[in-house]
Amino acid sequence: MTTRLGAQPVTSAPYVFKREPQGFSGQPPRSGATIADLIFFTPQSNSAVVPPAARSLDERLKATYRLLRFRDSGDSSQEEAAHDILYQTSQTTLLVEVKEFRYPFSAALIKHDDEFVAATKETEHRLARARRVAAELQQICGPEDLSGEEEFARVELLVQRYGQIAIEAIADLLFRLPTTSELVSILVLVLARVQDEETKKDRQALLISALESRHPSMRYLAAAALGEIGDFAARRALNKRLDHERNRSVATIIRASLR
Amino acid sequence: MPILVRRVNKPQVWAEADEPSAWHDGSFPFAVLSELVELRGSGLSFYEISSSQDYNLERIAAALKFTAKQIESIEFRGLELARAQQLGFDVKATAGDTKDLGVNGLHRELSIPSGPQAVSLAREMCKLQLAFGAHEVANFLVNSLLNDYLPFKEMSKDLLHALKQLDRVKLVRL
Repeated sequence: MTTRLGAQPVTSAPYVFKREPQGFSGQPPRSGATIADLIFFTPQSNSAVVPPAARSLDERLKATYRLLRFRDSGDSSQEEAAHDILYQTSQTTLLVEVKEFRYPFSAALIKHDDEFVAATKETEHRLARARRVAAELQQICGPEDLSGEEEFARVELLVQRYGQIAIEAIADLLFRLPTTSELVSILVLVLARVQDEETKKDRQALLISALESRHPSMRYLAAAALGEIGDFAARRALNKRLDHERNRSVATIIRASLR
Repeated sequence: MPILVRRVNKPQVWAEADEPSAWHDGSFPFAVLSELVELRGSGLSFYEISSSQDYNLERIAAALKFTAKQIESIEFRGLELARAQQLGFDVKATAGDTKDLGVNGLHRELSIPSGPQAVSLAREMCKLQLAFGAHEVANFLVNSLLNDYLPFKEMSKDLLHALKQLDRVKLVRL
């Protein structure tokens, strides 16, 4: 058997992180990631549904600091340990915590890496927009006496105008409202029906997350919405959920959506 | 055995009520009571079918969704006619208000329930669930239109668009 020079043996396993925390479906940053990479690493699943970090903010900040120090020293075990802790939360959340709580480490971090400054500015801008969108969404879904159709139309417009930021705002609101609320069903329907190709993946990912909710009412709505979408990814998620769905009502709508 | 079925407005409420814990230790899923309130007519609106396999249920689903702007899943909850009578309900045949005259003939009204009757009715209705996905509803609508059960000329453009989106109709220029 001949082997091409320089070819890697087929049996070599790709590098994997040993203890990837549960709830993350995105690719973790590579080992030599810059601080900006780390900060902007956001899991594919929405941060609103990622389980809260197991470690304290203090530990995560220390890990960030250690990571910066050990990155160039070649001590891979220390770097990996720091990574391990950082993966337990969304880095965007970490940055928000640094900025909003004015944690002493933030000064050290900012001094250490110019990329952090640029990243901070970008994040601040993004955060400002996100807050504006969230406020607008709250206004639509607030005490105003709108009909379901009007609410639907306004939320749909918000998604078309602001894209992913609006989806994040919906995610945030969706998991805070009482699950049997009328608004939840409107938000879920918008996620399924809005004509916006750019956010399709995000919307679908959010519906798939909702399908794993512990509330049967939320799972029901998500199943019906994914049934409306009906593409391969939606059907795969529905099939997967059906395997372990215990609520009779939810199982029935999943089967109906798959027919 | 004839069955009475009622269209569900908030299926998510019934999904919560299907959890055994909702009925545990004397508790009751109060939210389902909102599903047993009728704003129009003199009683609770139901349709009578011969069994859960009755083809007429598909026709009822199509007739109820004919005025909608979007095609979405539909769910019915039901109970046996005899059981409804056992619970003390008067069952009256009244005219329905859908665009399908055949379906209107299947419309029944149950007398307005007392509190305990509503609780018993909800408990019975938790046992029988019949649901159809959005794509099935689209097929039912097309079948009813092709069989002239539903008047094509009265279909809204939103519904036509929704059927087109689901590849259930093909629009051709004549």
